[in-house]
Amino acid sequence: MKDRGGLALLAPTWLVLGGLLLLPLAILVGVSLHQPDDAGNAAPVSDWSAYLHSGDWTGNYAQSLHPIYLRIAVRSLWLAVATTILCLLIGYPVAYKIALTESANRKNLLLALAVVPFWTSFLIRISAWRLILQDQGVLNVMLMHMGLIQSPLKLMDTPLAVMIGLVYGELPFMILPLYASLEKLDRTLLEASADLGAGAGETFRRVTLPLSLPGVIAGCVLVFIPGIGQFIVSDLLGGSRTMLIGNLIQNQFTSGRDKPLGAAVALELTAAVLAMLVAYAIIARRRGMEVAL
Amino acid sequence: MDCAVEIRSVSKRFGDFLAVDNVTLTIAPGEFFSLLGPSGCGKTTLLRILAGFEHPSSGSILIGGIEMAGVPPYDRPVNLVFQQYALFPHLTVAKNIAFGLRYQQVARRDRGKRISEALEMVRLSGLDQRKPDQLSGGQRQRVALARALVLRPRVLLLDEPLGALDQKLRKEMQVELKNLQKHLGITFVFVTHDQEEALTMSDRIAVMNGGKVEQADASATIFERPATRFVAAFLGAANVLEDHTTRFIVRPEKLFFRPDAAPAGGTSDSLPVVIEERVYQGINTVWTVRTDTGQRLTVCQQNTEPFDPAAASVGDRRHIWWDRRHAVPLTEDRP
Repeated sequence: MKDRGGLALLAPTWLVLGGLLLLPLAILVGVSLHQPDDAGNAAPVSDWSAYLHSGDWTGNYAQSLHPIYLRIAVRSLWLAVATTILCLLIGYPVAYKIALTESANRKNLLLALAVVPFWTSFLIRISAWRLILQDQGVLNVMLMHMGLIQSPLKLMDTPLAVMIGLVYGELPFMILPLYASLEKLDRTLLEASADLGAGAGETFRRVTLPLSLPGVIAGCVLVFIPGIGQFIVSDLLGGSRTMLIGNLIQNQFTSGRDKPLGAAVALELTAAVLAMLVAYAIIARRRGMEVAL
Repeated sequence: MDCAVEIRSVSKRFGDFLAVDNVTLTIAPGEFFSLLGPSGCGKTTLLRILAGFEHPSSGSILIGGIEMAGVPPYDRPVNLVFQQYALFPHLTVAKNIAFGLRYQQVARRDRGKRISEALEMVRLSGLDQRKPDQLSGGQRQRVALARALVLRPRVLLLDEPLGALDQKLRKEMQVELKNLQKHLGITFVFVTHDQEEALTMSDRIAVMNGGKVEQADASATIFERPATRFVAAFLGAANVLEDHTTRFIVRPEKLFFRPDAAPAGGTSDSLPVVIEERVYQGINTVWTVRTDTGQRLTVCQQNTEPFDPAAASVGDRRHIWWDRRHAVPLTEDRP
């Protein structure tokens, strides 16, 4: 009886997880095993045992390893890694300043400012960057007026523009968890460190940074995962030459007319991210760190 | 004489609030010195000024004869034992204790020896690989102590280090700390609001109130010859009595009941009183009595005889006597 009550309480969770995560994932797996028909949908299979026997069901996965696609995957990976590192380098000082040196009122104000961009659609904000970065955009016009450059810099439709957009979009997801972990930091530990002879740099390296590591990791995960699957930023700022894995997947489902291939690549991306998280969790646990995932 | 710590006319102002008000104190090498007072009296602020976390608004601090103005906490020859210990939660006991050693001229191979000596000193050997959250309150307290003492500071500052411990452990640690201090010969500056703790451990005590030092003297002097009404009251309930010209105090345990008034020309004085309340406390019995002028006084007697419910009970008229040697005139009482 008791158990049945417990199961009933879990039902909403399973409904959401099952209906919105597991079921779509299962459909995706199913689609990825098919061949595409002329419209790009999964072509029906008449004889499953013969189909599985022929090995054709692995065709989409084999195709996804084509060098062209691998190059896209590598580009996505390094852009996501670079974005994560840049967000960390920019976000840490910001979070540190807000959490440790501001008064309670200013803290709330500054945090609100970090979150304010969410009030506008991501699509619109990224489109706004076009106005800043394009050849006759705000940035180029300003730099030319100041006489720093003679002709406009080619910023639009480059990997640099994509990275700027990615860093801009993901930065709050780095600042917020970092702030949360720095805010919890006991100030007397910093005094204790100074009392024991450590200068400001040493205190940061030996006390502040290790104790904010859960925030660093949470921030990196929150930035890296959306970063590697991004397709809006590269679509709007990267032009046709900076295709990312997210664009690849999106294209297969739309203009590329090959949903089975798109499904296969999407599943590979999901598996890769999952593998990275599991690897991190194992390493962290082996080192005796708390795993906050 | 060479001073371990010299505090010269130090004041500290936070906005409109004067936390420390023109304090001058000298602390001798090897002395166990306590700053005693209620919360908000400025004792912790004064300690934090010594540690270098606060800067005096005026006045100066000398430690070991060296002016400390502009010397940051990490360059001062003092270490602080924090009230809540402030152990690094991500480091083991051994690494907590080792934390400060790398900033001193201690060769790497000697560090291990210093750490195990420190652990032995606070009787924590064998716990060196534990994390702070795997220790009891008393053990954490010892780690905090070892972490500071391993650096062999000239002066050890302690900010109510026993405040978080339960009563029994607290008593044990008081004795242990005092013995440790005697053994090491390091100057201790100890902040507490517990008068009994201060009396148990200290060579000298400075009683603080409202940012000022009311009295700084040897422990017994503070207790027996309090200079001000505040000091007398803070170190246990004190009765303030008035003669024609002077005001003086008599401690409750120095008063006793007699059926008649004290004879003139003797060594004792007396007052007629009515008993208002009697509280049996086990070791002592405490009475509240009222004088003819309506003033309430406290009488405390040790229960050396079997409990007698009939002796000096509520409503009885008695005379309270005291030896004139125990009447302490209040010399510098503030209004």
